[in-house]
Amino acid sequence: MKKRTKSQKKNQKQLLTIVGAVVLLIVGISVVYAALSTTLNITVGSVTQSQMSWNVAFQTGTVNATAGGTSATGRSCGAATVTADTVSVASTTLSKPDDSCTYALNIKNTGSIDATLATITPVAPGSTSCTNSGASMVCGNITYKLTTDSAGSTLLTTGGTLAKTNGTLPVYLVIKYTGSTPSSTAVEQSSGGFTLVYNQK
Amino acid sequence: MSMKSTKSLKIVLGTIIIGILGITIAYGALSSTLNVTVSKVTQNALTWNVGFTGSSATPTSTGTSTTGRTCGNATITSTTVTIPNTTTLSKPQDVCRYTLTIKNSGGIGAKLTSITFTPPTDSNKTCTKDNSSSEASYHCVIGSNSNGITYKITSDADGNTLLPINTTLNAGASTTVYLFLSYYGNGLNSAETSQSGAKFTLNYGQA
Repeated sequence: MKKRTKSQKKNQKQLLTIVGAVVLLIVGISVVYAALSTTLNITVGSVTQSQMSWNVAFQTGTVNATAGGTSATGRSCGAATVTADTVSVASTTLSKPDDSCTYALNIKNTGSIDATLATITPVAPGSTSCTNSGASMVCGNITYKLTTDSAGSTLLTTGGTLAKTNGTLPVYLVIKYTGSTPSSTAVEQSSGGFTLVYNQK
Repeated sequence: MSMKSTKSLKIVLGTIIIGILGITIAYGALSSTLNVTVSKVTQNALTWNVGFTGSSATPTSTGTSTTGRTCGNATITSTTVTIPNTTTLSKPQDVCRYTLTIKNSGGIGAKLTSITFTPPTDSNKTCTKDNSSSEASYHCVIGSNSNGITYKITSDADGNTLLPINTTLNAGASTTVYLFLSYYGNGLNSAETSQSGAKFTLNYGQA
């Protein structure tokens, strides 16, 4: 068997050393690659939902109108029956200029959230042509209005806040003969009125 | 033995010895040494560093009135954001929105590889994914309530675009993400409820 010379042994040793270094280098690169990641955490503590209530409604009861005009001839104001979400006015007669019936109503917020009047929508009497302007509706000789004053001068508008817990808004329904002359024939208008929508504020 | 014979023998041996040495020397020269030399291997100085920036975040609170709504300040470290226990959302449209910044301060591009939602720890919670293809939005209710809380993480301030995965954050770059906590449902709770410990986990890997 041939003996290896010192140079042969040295060469082999060098080869092994180089291979070993390359292996170490590869292992080192692998270890570093696996560590390149980060975990970010977003943690929410406790989220509470408090007890809340929503309650916007008319103050209930029966409301008698305040009649206006000259004489009571041809004028009668029906009583208004008020529930939490409706006002129903019984049969009313207005026959000459300035005859009027005014009903004092209250809208109350007894809930725990502020409310705001979002919309006012006039509802025309059946088969009657009307002209609308916000909280005022003119249907022939009869004008229907919602106002914030008993004189009927200041129309109710949207956007106001009805405060939570015990906010109260006085509202007046005014039905008035605004024609300039009496009608030569009997005219009836039925189911005219307004729809009010309150939203969370 | 004659002297003459001895001397001759000695001479012969010496020649043979010289011959062997010569042959050996000649055999040792029949090899080559091959060297593989790597002149220089350089390892550039590179760092890996992806994390949140800042130490706190003041939320944006939206909705109608402030009644029943409280949004607490978030505490931020490089790897965590913690929303305190003071958050209250009690009616429809109540929202707390947190603006968070994630920065890649390292020298290697990063990529958001996954988003994981961990539900609140309450035993009677039910959480539902809001988008079948994303883990970035869930709503959770407690018990039989129909109202609850929506947890959402987005890439836009309006809350319309759920945070996408597989997006690259280049070295040196920052990205803004938004955490939304909002009231889920159209009604109100007749009794107080709470839910705790929900979490989003964002995993960043090398791009």
